[in-house]
Amino acid sequence: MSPEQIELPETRLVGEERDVAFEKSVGYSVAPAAFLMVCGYIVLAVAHVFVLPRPESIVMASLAAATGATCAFIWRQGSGVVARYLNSHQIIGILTLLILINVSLHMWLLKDHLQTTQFALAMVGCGFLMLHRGWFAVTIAAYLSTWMTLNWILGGSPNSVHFGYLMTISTLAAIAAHIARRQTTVRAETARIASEHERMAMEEHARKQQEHLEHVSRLLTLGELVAGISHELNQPLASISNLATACEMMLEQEEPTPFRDRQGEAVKGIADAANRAGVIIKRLRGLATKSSRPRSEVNLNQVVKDSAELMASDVRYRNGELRLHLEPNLVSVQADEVQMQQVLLNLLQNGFDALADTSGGEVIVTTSMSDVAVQVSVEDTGPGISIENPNSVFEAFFTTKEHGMGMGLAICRSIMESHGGSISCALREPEGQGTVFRFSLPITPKQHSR
Amino acid sequence: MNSSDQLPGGGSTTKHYRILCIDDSPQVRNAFVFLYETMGHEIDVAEDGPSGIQKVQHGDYDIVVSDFTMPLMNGREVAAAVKAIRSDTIVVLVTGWPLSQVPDATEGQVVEDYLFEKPFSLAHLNEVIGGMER
Repeated sequence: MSPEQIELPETRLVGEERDVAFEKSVGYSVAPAAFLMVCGYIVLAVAHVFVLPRPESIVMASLAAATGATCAFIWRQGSGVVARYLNSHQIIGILTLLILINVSLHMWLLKDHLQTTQFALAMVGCGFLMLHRGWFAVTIAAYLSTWMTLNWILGGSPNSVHFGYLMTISTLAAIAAHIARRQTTVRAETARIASEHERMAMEEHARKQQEHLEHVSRLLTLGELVAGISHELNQPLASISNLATACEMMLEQEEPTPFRDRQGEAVKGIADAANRAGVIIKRLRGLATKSSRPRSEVNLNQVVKDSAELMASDVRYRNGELRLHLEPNLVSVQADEVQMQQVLLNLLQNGFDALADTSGGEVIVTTSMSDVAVQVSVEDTGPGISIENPNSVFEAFFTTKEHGMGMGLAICRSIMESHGGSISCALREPEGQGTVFRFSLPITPKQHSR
Repeated sequence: MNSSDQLPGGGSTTKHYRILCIDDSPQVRNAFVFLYETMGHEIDVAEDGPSGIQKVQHGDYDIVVSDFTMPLMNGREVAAAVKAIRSDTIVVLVTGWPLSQVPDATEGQVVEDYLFEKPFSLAHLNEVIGGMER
């Protein structure tokens, strides 16, 4: 019956998770390189203003700054925040538009088609890098810097030489940063996924502990009922024993007596008694279950009646009267029937316990419903809870009994909460003495029609 | 085998006895009657302590077999009352609880002659009768 050990997964990534981690690390390290390139372009554009002070240069410089600012903003914020307002296609669209505007201006103003194409491609590369497109961005960056470097070596306009410098340096810087950061990021991703697995394993472990606790609680209840059940079973057993012995004797009688031919009656009596014993035993079936069961449509009126029958085997049942006020049109709810019976039985036992030192006491069970929930209340006419906050009875280890463990009501509360319901405890106010426990379960919409 | 000579399970008797069974369960009463009348004894039943005491007052029983735990009067009170009326009536108490859980007699006075665990069987009756005929 011991709960299973937690099994943590091995902390090495494989397959898809590894690819994701790698891609992210590339993005983290190459984006700064793209930023450098954009800065470089802005510097050049601004320098152009001073070298060739023309209005067109100023316009270009402003546009370059605007593009750079947009790229920087996207990079800083990360695709997460921006993605709230724009999806990635829209972002690419905006960047492409800005690039096209820059390119057109450049071509129109400087009539340098080679250079224009170069930085158009550079801007496209920047755009993709901003979106952390991983492998694709690295490829473009590598391609551009190679082209620029060749351009520079083989000769070209001075601007493209500068661009070539920038592209080469930033690509090399990106690769270095990538190598440095790769391990860190992959390790970070690994740790994150491992802790996610650990969290899930712990939740599973906690769930199994809870199940185990509920099982133990049911076993304790079973134990409490054993004396009563065995007392009840003695009656059909006495019947069977006597009737069978009578049969035996009748079968041995040679001479006819008034009783000799009543074997049929005796045998029928035996069968009836055996059936009665079976019914008593069947009440226990729910209590013996170990693990959780799937939820089903449960009518709480039936659960109340079953629990009342089970209670009849309990010694405490003699302490008072049980009265049931059941709402006839009660809607069924999605619930675990055995757990519901466990809760009700617990409340009934507590109710009858409260009547231990009184005479003429009653335990009253009422079912009712509203539009959204089904409610059951169990009240007793005993002395009432004498503590300040009645709802603290649901805390673990709270008990007023000498040999109590104090887990029964805590388990009731966790059962109700796992069903999306609630349970409360209060003094019976308008009627005076006694305690009332109320629990409710939500009606899920599709169960509104019975 | 003639039922007036041998009891199944050993022991023998030629006598038939008047026995009163007091028990709140009709199953138990009916089965008691069925078996012991078949054996030839004269059986009477009562469903609780007070009506059982009444029968003892108006009748003459050799053996009174009473359930221990009953709503109105418990077995010990019944035993005390029966002994007060006729002290030579054998009183047998039968309990559904394990013997270790039966509360001790008040003031250390044991009023009943026998205390058995349920179910009360033929073997128990043989023991009682055996004791009576010694």
